[in-house]
Amino acid sequence: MESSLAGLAHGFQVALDWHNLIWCFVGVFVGNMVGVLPGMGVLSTISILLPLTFSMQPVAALLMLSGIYYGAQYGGAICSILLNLPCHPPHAVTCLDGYPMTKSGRGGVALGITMLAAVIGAAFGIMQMMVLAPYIASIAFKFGPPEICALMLLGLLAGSTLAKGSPIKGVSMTLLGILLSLVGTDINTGNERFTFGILEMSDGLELVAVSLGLFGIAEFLKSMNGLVPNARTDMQLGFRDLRPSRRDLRQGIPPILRGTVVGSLCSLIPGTGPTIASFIAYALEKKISRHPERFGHGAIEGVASPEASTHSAVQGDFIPTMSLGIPGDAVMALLLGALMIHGIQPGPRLIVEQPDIFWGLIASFWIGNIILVVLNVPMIGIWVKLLQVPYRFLYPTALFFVCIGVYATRNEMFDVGAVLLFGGFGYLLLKLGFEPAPILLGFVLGPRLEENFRRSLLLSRGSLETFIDRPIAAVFVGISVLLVAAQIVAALRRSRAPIRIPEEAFD
Amino acid sequence: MLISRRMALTGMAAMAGLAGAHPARAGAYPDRPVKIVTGFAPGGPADVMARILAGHLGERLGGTFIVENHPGAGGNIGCNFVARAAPDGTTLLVHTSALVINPSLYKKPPYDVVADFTPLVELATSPNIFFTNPATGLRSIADLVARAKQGSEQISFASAGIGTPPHLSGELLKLRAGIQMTHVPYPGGGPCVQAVLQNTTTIGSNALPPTLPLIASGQLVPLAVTWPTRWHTLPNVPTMLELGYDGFVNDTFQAFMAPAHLPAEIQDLLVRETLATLAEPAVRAQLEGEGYQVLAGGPQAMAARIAREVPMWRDLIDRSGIEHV
Repeated sequence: MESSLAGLAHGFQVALDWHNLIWCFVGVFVGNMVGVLPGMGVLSTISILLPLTFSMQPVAALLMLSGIYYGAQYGGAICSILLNLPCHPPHAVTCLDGYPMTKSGRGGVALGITMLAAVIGAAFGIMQMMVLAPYIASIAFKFGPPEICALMLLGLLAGSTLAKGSPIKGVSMTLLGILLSLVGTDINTGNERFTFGILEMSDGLELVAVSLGLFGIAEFLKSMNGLVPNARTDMQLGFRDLRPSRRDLRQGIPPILRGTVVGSLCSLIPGTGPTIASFIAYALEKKISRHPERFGHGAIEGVASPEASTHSAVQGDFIPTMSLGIPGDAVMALLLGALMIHGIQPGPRLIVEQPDIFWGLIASFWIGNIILVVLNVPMIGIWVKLLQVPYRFLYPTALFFVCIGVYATRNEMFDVGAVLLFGGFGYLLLKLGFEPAPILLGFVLGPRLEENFRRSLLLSRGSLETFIDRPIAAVFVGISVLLVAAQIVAALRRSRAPIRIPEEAFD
Repeated sequence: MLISRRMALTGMAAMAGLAGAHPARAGAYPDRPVKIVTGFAPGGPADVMARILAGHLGERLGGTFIVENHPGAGGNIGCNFVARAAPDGTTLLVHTSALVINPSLYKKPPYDVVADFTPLVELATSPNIFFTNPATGLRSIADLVARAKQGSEQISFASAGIGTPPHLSGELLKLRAGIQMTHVPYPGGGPCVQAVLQNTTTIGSNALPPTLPLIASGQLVPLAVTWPTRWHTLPNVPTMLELGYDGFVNDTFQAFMAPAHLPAEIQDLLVRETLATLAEPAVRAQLEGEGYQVLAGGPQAMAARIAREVPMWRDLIDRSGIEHV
């Protein structure tokens, strides 16, 4: 602890050096912008800016590139909440309750609680990196293939009721999502599955295309066809409406704390990044809520928890990367690549051998997050005003950005076609009363479930007992069984004593 | 909207400005961003090599070189992606020995290594290493063999994927030592190291570069290297030859490839600048420190290696009875 404080003090000296401070600011500012714009991704932005860093000091380069990554998370929720456009995968799940909040005129409150979640989540993530990493890592290291597999199963089961309405429809949508995630090349044998010989599908479907299609475009089509009268233009918002009330805070803070813990744990389990963390946090929050029926209709917990989880997972993502030198994902590999270009060898000794880099980075996280809050809080009012732009201008513009954004993820025209196709499909689902959210859940968690299920069985020589022999996995499996049982009991009870649930107006 | 649009434009202009920090010569290659594809997850030897190369080529040629990971199926996914890409120099491949192994290992050959690619440079090579988690209590190959023969617990080994040299090293060890080990493929060298750190598998078989830093820090225990001599930064780690496994020499090379029919002037340019990069003393020192031996051979050397190694691995797979997948 003392050495951490000494390290942090040293880090602040490094990070407050005006040169580093400016680059940190540039990073978070560009990142924030990337997050807000539907058309830009974090990975492509960092790739584009990477060459710029070759002539910079390594510390400044790392501070700037990391700033883009966590800065983007601050803007990422804005499109999800205000326009139902999940441009950034970790914030896709925020659509589910963020957008209904906007529709009932509480978009500003949703953005406000997002800021609070960001600050708490990020602060915990950074603390974790400073002092808690060794303890949490020892828990995360107990997560072998059976544990990850069981956790994914639990997430899928808990989350298949993500949608409002019929659980059967929810489960079938989850399964559809898992099926969609199978598209592409099997990572063990190299056989292509459901690709129909189309080259662009051999690497699987693009998450951004699926989510933007199912949410953004489907929503657009739904409104276009006049199913919903556009209630937004007459909204009048004062500054007071943008601030979460005391009641909002009371409802929002416990989910923020739970989300933060989920995020930090997920960030340390190999291969489980911010996107999975946010979905699991949402599913958990809905499951433990005393009023799960409020979810999907603008429950503030449904925004607070996944957002906190994303921010703490994003900060936590740096822990394995910095402490082991093993990048968790492509963004982290780019950051390490930036160091390697400067001849710095990433690895477990980085913290000792390059204290400037490690502690400078941590100090810059504190500074960067403060800058982001200062940048973003005053902007909330302006973002919400965006909604007063007449619908006929706003949505075509957003649609344009959607197409550019999807194209930019991997420079494939194919994905633009895919997003439109998924948009049409999503519209059909909405009309038939299926909620698209569980599809996304299945799509995100499915590959991790499959990979770890197969790996577990390889290790146990095909014995399924491995899932109940190991305590952590057994607990997850047990909770999963209870969940299913509870659902069946509830269904039986309902059929015995039919209570007419008032039909909800289609919103 | 006004503000957001203005901000959007400012942001884009800023980005365009920054991206243009290295002015590309008009019309000359690389006039568009260049993707360097690797078939493995971040952190493995091909990924690390691709990133170092991308940085230096970007600087030398004044363009944007982006590394893209397409992991899975022992590297075939990324490899296939490049084999089917347009030969305009905007899609390149940094791949490992899996390039020459997989055509013989898979029942359905994923690509034709000669007809589908233009060879550029043989970049470097590195030995494979067997290693374990300190918690297993194993300290040598002999310990491992003894425990496997005792048969009381299941022995497994992690690799960077089916058809990677570390996978075949592991299979070879099984055959030569007469032991049973379950192979658990991971999508790259990084995840493979992580699996052993987590003590998920008994041992790992991996290329040296991603493993070296964790051996240096004591978090992984080295068992043996598959190199003709002891590796210069690991003087205490025996070779498989020393342990009495005749001919047990095995390496993972890194190849720089492009799709077939790449225009000759782009090939020449890429080869020249890559060789110049590898000739830089700082780059060479860095690569050697990370566990590579720099080869720096041109297209002929690369083609010759492919011609030599495809039958070599095919023989090894046939003779050792490794199952086709």
